[in-house]
Amino acid sequence: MSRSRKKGYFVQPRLLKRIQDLNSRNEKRVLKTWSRASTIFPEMVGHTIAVHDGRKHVPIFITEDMVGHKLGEFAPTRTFRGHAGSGRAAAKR
Amino acid sequence: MSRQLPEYYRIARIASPHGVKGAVRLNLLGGSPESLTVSGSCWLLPAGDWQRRRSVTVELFGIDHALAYIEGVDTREAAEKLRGSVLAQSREHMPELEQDNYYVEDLRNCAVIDDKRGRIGTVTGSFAIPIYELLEVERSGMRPILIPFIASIVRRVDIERAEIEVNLPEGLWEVYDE
Repeated sequence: MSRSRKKGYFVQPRLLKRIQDLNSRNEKRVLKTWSRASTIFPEMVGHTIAVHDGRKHVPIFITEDMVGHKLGEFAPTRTFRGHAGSGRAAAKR
Repeated sequence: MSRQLPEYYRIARIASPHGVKGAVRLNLLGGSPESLTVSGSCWLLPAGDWQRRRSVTVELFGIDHALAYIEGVDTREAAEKLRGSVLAQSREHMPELEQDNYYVEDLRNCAVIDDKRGRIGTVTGSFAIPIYELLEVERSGMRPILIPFIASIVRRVDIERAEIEVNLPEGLWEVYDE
């Protein structure tokens, strides 16, 4: 069952406040958070948030397309590092 | 200073025989399987003895090109002997990548130079998260730092000189500094 509309989207209040503080000062700074369940709000666009994956913080640069998703969706808890010597390519976004 | 780049890239590992006519099932290791066929031949690296490589012709088939016929292998028994072997393609025959695309193996061991801090470490690996690649950079005496492989942070990549110039966003260094 989906979350009740009455409650609104969840975001850790402390995280949102820190983002709003940065926005009011027109400042950009990487923020650390453990709150993987927080929804990405439009205020977060353009910020980099280091989301905990259970072991370390993964820096996530927030773009418009990510609004409405949860932070945890972008910091996988299981990371596959690929095979050594493989021909996998990495794209600079 | 130029550096030695990988001579070949491993594309697939032979998982098992498939059928009775010598076909094999492939475990794709990364990169496109089509790169095994573009130049007409590729390298077969026998399991456990990768120095004794030989050039072979491969014909791909099946869903996702995960099945193959290998030149000179036409029985199930012969295919069985190849279990664990690796199919690789030479560097010069790998497909030309688009701009701002790099082989992960080429990025490995590149020095990372930050605008403010100078040389901060060496790339030890890269892994993909749903939105972009992350470079894992080993720092001497400190925890490794993860750097998003995005244009606003990574300014220049020079594979020949093994250098990556970055402009770390404020606060990223401190995240891994504690």
